[in-house]
Amino acid sequence: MEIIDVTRTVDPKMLKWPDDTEPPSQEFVTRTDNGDPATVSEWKMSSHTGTHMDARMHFIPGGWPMEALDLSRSVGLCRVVDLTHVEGHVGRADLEAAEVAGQARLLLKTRNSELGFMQREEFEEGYSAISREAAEYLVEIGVETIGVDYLSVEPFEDAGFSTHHTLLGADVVILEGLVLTEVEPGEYFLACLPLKLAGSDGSPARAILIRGL
Amino acid sequence: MPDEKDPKHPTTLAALLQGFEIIDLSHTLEEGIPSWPTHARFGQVLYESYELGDVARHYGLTLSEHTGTHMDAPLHFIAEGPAHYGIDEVPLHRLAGRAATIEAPELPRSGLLTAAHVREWEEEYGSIEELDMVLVRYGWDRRWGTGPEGTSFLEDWPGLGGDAAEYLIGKGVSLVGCDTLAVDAFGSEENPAHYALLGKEVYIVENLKNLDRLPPWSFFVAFPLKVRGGSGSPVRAVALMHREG
Repeated sequence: MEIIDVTRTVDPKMLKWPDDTEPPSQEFVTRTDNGDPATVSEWKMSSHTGTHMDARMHFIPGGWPMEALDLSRSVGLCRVVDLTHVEGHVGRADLEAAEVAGQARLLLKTRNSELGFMQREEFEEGYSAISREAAEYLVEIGVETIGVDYLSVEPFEDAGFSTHHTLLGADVVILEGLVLTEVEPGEYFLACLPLKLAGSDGSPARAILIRGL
Repeated sequence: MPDEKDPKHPTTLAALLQGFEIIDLSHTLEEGIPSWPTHARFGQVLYESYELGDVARHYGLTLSEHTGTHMDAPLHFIAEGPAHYGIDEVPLHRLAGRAATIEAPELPRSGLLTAAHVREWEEEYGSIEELDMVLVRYGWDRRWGTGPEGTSFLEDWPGLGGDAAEYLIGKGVSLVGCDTLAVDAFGSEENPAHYALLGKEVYIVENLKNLDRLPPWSFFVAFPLKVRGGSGSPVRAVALMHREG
């Protein structure tokens, strides 16, 4: 059994969505270095920091918040799909060619992973995302959970957030910010357990893949 | 080690994949939950909302590393040496595996669970092995609350005695979990269990709930946030339970 961590480390110098929120900050409360018996710090961060899940309420008024997540959405068998050859955003034809129908949980590995975008400190506008028509196709084939390898499922230029609205509108669970660079396409057991945040629109998460069961 | 072919011990991930249900062992993170004195209480700040004309709803979080159901990293108490490392460096294969749940709801205020108690449990349910996890149910999660009643969670809780901690370390366990604020009992200035366990890289999960829903053996999973150099992290702790049929 091999465990692969597909999580971006959270630190104050990490990438973040532009013009949006402050990067994560860490403040020490006590430190053994200062003679205190224990080290403890406090973090302030966006609920969409690094590797994270979107709750339905992120874009859909009245949609479920994080504490109401059905955990089976993000714990179970999944498939990592190779879309590293796609130059722009992932389109419907790319997904059809990859024969993804019939999978409840899909993680899309794109050029973002090959270029190491998630591991950078600076935001990269030219990331590959899911086009609206590809999102509609995912809904059509009954995908329940979709994971992407950058901070958003949305093309950067889509000011209407149609991919989010399409996916969350159909109650697809969204995982963003996965680090798939070292992951070979194929079947895995996904365990992504976000925090049980009351009323929250999203949560940072630790996401891992298990192979060789 | 557990034998995945034995239906009485369906505690390996491969066996669980034949069908499982998830038992959530985590408290909801919401305003007003109990927190360690001097640590920030859990809080959320609204950054944007469609109700206010923004495109989405989005919160900022204030999280002590020891908020709610959480894991302690070795550097929480270990100031130097090979065990001085943070939550982002805890090896993940030590955080998913077979778990023994030991019942100890009858301990007195600030009482200690002894090694003898653990050995009695083993005589009844089987030996705790290397890389197993041990969850102790004191029944303390019943005191959890978001109002003034939650203060009773913060006093007189029982804990793991130093001899029990040493016994479990000798067994080679990966992790010790409890449904109290700390693995050491209330008023334990010396923190013997924290120092012993973390010093030997046995990880600690505190503030668990719902342990009464677990059988003596289950499959436990808790992965912390990957906060660089963190002394701990809130976790979503779960047990995967084999479902018949």
